[in-house]
Amino acid sequence: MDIPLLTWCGIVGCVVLLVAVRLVCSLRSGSDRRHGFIEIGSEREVFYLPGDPLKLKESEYDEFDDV
Amino acid sequence: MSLTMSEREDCPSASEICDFLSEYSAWLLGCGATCIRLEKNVGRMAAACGKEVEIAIMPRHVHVSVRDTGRSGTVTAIASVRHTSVSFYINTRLSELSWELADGRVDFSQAVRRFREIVDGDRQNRWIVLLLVTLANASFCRLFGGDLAAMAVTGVATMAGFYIRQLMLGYGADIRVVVLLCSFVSSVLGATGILFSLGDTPAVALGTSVLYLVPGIPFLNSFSDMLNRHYICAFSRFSDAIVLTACLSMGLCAGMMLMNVGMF
Repeated sequence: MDIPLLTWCGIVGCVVLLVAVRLVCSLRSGSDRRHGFIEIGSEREVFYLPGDPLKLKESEYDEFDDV
Repeated sequence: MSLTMSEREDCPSASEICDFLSEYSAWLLGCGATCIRLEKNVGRMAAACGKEVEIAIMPRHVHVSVRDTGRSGTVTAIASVRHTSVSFYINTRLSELSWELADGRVDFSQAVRRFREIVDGDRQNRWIVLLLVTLANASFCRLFGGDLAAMAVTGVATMAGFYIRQLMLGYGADIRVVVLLCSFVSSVLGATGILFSLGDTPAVALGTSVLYLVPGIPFLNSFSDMLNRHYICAFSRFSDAIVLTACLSMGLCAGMMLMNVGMF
């Protein structure tokens, strides 16, 4: 393989990897926020009683927090 | 900084106006306005409030001095120029605001509120900007004689480079490093046509793939400032533009060298 082709493949690979990682992160963080109409809740959500320790506050919306 | 001044009931104090005008100036300069536009807008608003203003514009700071017409005593404020991206939206709206205040359509307190809405409200959709920049650069390729294949290659190279640019600037990376890296990525992707013999004008695709990084606004503003004899700001803006152009050229040359293209 010559250098130009190697360089091109490297750059394309890096860009594709970057987009894929951002997409996965976006989907993962998005799924944490969205709540379906019907869903299987966590034990904490189903059996919460006043006085139970609360979850940590979620981070504020980041306008760059997408793909 | 200031002498105590008696206030007229219908006009804000020199201190309030000075604070407002200094912040206004910092935002207007930061979003890419020329010095002459800033001088005119600030002078117009001060006159509308019955005050006289002197403004000293430096590359990273603005000094605003406000004085009641016919009275002694001056209030001075110094503000740092806002480090924000070039925004024609903010530029235009702030200029409109100066006319609204001058024409009496808003009073001072409404102007302050409108100012806050303008500077807080500029949120461009990054995906729309990405799409439009891609289309614009592909159109440039066409203008320079590129065929459909060259346009497609330019579009992809621009999209990848601009996406990386948005990402890195979002994380606070230095603009010079960003331009260097993005021009390298775009030039390598722009050489796709040469590498795989796509289309009849692959060289045009390579040349236009980095056009979106050219610092056009700083160059234009520097010439405008020079014509209006704001030499310090003109030289500062010109230097910024030259540095960014040098970074762009280095990235482009590195890409062309590795892709074994052109003059190397």
